[in-house]
Amino acid sequence: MTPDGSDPLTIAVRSLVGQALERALDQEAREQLEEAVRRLSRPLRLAIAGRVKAGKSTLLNALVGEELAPTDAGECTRLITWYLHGPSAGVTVHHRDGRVERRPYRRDSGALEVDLGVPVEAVDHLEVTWPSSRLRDVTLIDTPGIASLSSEVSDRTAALLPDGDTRPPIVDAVLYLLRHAHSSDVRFLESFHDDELGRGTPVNAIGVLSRADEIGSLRLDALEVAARVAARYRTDPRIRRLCPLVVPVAGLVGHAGMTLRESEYRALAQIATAPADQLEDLLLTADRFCAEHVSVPLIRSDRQHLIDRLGLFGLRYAVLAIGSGQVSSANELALRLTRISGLDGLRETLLRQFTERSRLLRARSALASVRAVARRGGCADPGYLETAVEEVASSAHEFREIRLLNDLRSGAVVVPESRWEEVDRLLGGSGFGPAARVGLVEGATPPEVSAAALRLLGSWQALAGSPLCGRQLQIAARDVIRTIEGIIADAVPAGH
Amino acid sequence: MKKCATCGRENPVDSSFCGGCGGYLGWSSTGTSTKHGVIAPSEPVVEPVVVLRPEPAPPTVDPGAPLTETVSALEQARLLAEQCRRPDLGRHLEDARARLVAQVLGVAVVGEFKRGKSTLVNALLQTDICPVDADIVTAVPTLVRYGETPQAVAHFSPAGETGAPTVDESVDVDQLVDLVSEAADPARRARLQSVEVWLPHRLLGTGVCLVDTPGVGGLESAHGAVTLSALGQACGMIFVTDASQELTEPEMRFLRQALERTPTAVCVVTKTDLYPQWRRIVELNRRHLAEAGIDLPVVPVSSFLRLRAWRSEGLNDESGFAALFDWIRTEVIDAVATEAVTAASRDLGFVKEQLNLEIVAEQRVIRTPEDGPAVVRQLQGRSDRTRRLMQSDSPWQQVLSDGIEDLIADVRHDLAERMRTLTVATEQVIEQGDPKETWSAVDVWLHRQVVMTATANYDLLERRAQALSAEVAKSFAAESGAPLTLGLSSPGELLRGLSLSQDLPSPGDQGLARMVFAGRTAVLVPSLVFGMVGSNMALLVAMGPIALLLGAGLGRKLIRDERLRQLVHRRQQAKMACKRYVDEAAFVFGKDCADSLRRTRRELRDEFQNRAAVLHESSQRALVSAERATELEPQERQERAVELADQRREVEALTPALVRR
Repeated sequence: MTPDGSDPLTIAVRSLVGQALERALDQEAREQLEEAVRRLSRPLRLAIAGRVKAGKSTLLNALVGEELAPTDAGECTRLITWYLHGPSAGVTVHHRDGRVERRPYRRDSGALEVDLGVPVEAVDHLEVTWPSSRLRDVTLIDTPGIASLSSEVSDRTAALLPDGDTRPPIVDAVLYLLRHAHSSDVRFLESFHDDELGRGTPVNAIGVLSRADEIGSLRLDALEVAARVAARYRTDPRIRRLCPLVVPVAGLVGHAGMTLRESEYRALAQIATAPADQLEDLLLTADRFCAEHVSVPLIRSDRQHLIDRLGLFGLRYAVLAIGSGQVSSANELALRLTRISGLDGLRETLLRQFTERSRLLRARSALASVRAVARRGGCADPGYLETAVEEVASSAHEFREIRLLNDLRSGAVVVPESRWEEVDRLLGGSGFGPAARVGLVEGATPPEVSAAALRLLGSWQALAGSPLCGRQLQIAARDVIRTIEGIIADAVPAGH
Repeated sequence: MKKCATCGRENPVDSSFCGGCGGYLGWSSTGTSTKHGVIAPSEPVVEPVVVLRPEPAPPTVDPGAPLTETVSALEQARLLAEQCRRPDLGRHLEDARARLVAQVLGVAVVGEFKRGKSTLVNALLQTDICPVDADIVTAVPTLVRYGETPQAVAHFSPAGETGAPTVDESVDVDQLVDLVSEAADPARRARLQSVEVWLPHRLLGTGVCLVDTPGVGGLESAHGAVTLSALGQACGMIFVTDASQELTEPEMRFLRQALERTPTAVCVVTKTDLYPQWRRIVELNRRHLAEAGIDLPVVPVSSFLRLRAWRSEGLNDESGFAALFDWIRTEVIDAVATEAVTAASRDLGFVKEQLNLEIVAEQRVIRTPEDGPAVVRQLQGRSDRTRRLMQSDSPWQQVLSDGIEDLIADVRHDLAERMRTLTVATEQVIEQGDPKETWSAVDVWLHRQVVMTATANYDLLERRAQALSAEVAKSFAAESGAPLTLGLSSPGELLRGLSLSQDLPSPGDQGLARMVFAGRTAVLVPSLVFGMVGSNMALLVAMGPIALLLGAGLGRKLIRDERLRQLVHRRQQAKMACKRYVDEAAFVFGKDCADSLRRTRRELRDEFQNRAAVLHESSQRALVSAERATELEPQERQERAVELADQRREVEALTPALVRR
């Protein structure tokens, strides 16, 4: 995998966009195409979407590891905000009328406070550049919740989604936060359709079961229950069709783990020394913990701060972990919190599903842009360009893989149940590395990989040649065989 | 101040429930309890959460303090009626009493998924009767009502055709959780329509019956529509949201619709123990409601604390349930009690009038004997009139049978009309897209539309049935009397209404989905066309470039045609499946409506016939008494006059007991 864009596919796409640029007829088309070129080398654009109060901003902060997006008990994200990597911090306001303006901001109490200078209604979106290494590979887009009481806020998010095929897609992938399978969730996911190139969502959406710590009334096994719920969602055909992967994440706990301070650990350790019955009383409800007079020597504002940072679940968990001697330093506690929050799991999934696939997704986005411009009539020779797009799209085996994966997951192509998992893995469903594809652990030696691949090859060749297998399955099997052959070719060093 | 016997909390004098523990205060004041032999419970109400039967069973169902007096007044009147040798009136009063005692005050607990509705019901009753799980959601409505021994019945839909009656099955109370949980046999669970639970709890003893509903996924879901239709029969609604977030737009939309059906409502914010910012959320919710122009009390509660209230004393106060109990008491029980008492007073007034008729007639004859023949003539006429009322060709009978016929026809027509509109709309929806892609959405949409159509149809039926009974009553010229219980709103119907729309097969059954996808794997003509182009290439080249162009064009057109043909085929299949589903639904609903209308007719007829018999008996007896009085000697007249005056006083004395505080 070549991240710098020198792989054959990116080169082909780049030259195609270049050809389209030469034929561009108007300024708008030129701008769109130039944007497409820029995006080929830019980080993946990942939107964080979901219902209002699903914990989107909290998750964003946890992913960046810094408190950037403002969070609140009430509904608070009202603008689409882009968080990009940049050499220095800055906030740009994009107005509805197309004006772009740098605005001052403050960061007194943690989160960014931007002085818009105009009413919220006049602003299209905000762009925040931040010198964080975690934003280098991925641009995060925070969105206002759907199903918000102010429908205007919901409309903004809906506008982010591509409509028709005359507009290029704005985002490459989406993290969709589910609190529970609501009908408005499913409708939202369904509207997140691309044009024919990606044809749908199963490959560019991950479901996140957010606020996982609150499932089951904050009992200490909440995250186990959350994992169970997530597993059930994965088997729900309605959800699987839209995002086949659902990961539970407790954003608040994760964020606390990422940014835990020594002073906070000391305060927690102090609470943990209280006798068991006092502790139980103290941690019974949030109100009790923040009461004026309590049995632990910790002033009220400190306690308030702790519960805001960790939530009642995080608090109970941290106190228990310290009290039972499982952790003995701020560092250990931070690691533990991050791990149980599911944030690590999400990161790993992101790496597997999107960051590795981002080259493909970006190339696909660029092709979609060219196609959109051609269809709109923004270029001379649209027929030629469309044919060229088709050529690139159909010759890249990666696209075929991704399309087949999508068809499989949406149920459009049916493979025998016994092979489902295998084929999903082979097509890169759980990672693009050759070892992951053939079902071996990461770090398997090339001979091991090629041996496993050869075994698979035989079985798939038998399937493809079977007269009993349907035409659709035969086509699918041929694609899979090509994938396996590719793995074997890569595993065997040149010259053998 | 009334002190609660169980928790010791001081309550306002006129309260019937303790604001603290929810215990019934009637038992703590000696006045009513000894009279009816109600034994004050010895053990405290609050018990560990795990105990399933937390309440000692009171020996009789007590309808609640304001009703108790009315019940005793009715009892007195009955004794008097029997003294006056009027067993028919005695029966009338007995019926009125039974109605009063069996009064069911349905309180529906509604809200989105996972907001803690079942937990709230459990916390209200301090039991664990409603299955609660972090993952599994309540899938069927659960009706919790009063019973002397805890028991549960599960209502299953019949295995065979739709429209057959439901199958009831007694379930062990402890096994309810297994029944609705994931572990249960999925086929069995799919047929489960509703669960009815009887518990010996004092709150329920007052006639309150709690309905735990499945979560509504906004108005779009079929569940939402079903819940809405059930709300039409509830006396009160507890709208549940939680402290994790402010009210959302779908919630507000649902709330607005629900309030149209059940204006008596409260908004409960649960889980206040978990969120430090719950006060903010409550404040925000109040503001949202005010902005929407909805006047609704917002009550923050913690079911968690209330379920643990037995552990320490302060927890119950902290849980915030007192306010919820206050609401149930003032808004539901007292309001309904007032209505019930008014109805009972009307019954009593009717009986009084009937008893007086005889006495007054005799008194008039005795006081002025020369009027005797005129009075007898008058009564003769009256008796003739009442006899006519009892005959089957009397005008009111005509009004009733004509009215019901019209009603059945109208409701049927309305249903057919709605279903036809729906079929047309469905076809348009299918035409707009390719069923291959849109089918799952169409399936959900159609199911919802059908339920909503049925609900609207049912509303019409109820409205019209009520109007008809008013018309019959007018024709009957019954100026006073009990409000007629229509077959449509009895408590059993509450559950039937809920299950009504669930026993329909979902149109998205496997068969169709398979059919739709089969379209994709069917023999593909385009590939044959390609094959032809390939094998005949040599020939085509020989024929020259024009022919090649033609061939290519032909191939492309064939592909397009084939695609179109498949699409049309898929659409046709989808339309047929939808039509079948709508027909099936129309059939089930049509039968259901006709059945309940026939039941209504029977009940109305019986009710009025009974009344006619009572009236006739009264006029007949008045006639006999008056005739007898004309033949009395002056001496006997004097004695009789005294007797009659006494009787009259006794009858008149029935009134004061009924005047409510």
